[in-house]
Amino acid sequence: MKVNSIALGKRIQNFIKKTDSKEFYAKLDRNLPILETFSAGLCYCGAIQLQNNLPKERKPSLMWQAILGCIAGMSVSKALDGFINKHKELLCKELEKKNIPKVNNVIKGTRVFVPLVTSALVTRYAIPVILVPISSWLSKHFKKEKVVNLNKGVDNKKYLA
Amino acid sequence: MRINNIKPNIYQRLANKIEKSPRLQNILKKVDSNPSLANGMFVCATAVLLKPTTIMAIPTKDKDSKEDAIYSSAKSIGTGFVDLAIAYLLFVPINKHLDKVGRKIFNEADSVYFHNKERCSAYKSIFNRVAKIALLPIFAWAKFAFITPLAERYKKYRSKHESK
Repeated sequence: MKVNSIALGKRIQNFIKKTDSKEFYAKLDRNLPILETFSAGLCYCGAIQLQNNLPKERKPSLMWQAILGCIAGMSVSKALDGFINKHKELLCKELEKKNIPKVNNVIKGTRVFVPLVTSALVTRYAIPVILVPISSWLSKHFKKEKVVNLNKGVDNKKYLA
Repeated sequence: MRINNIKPNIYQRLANKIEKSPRLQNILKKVDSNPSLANGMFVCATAVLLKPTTIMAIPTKDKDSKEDAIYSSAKSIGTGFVDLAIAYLLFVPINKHLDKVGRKIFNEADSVYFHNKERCSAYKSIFNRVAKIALLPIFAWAKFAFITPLAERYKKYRSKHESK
């Protein structure tokens, strides 16, 4: 079993021993989603540039979507997590009072389901939908600016000639 | 103030709904037994159905914006399917395997995990996160690989329907 041998490796065991504190894992839980979103944004930008079958005209808009999505995801996820946790626990407290068979499983399911639905609806639906027209506008705006600068360059060359 | 006049708050109403509906209870139990698959399925439904329809419904002024909307919808659909496939083919087996490993190392006498539940779950969570971040470049490439074929298909479908 490979994962088993990884877990029992000396370095991993030392790492787990060194970091054995609730504070460390609380810090990790707070910062890892941000790191994940940031690295996902970087990977998306790289993947867009590397895809040969994507039309060149569509790449800037997709790049803007990836960059803005990454920034929005990083800034929203922290605030959203606190908000969801607060409301999730209030709902779980109410569920504890109810006469439901296997209530523990239902509460555990609620603890997974509520953040899953809310974060998916906000970060994977609402934000990307809003970002489509914004990124389209941004790519057009920068394209126009590029054309103007190029024309300026041509004019300067004519003037210099 | 009479007790009858006090309205139940939103949490009480939601809890009442869950109590009355065995279907909702079943869904929540299933989510608890397999969270990564539930996440994949919900994200897939949002990405494949909800997001593309909303993006395409947003009015656009010019052809360029329309094309951007088509490619964004295609990206969303591709992402949804790739995410579901990754969850089903990779992370569900990985999580099951990690559970088994967690139980094994819990009883490993010469290790730091011996009868220490917190350390076992810490190892599992770190392994899961590191695997996710390490595989991100491959997932990202796969997500963008399907955009053009899907967008071209949609364009063909639309031109066929418009010509009819």
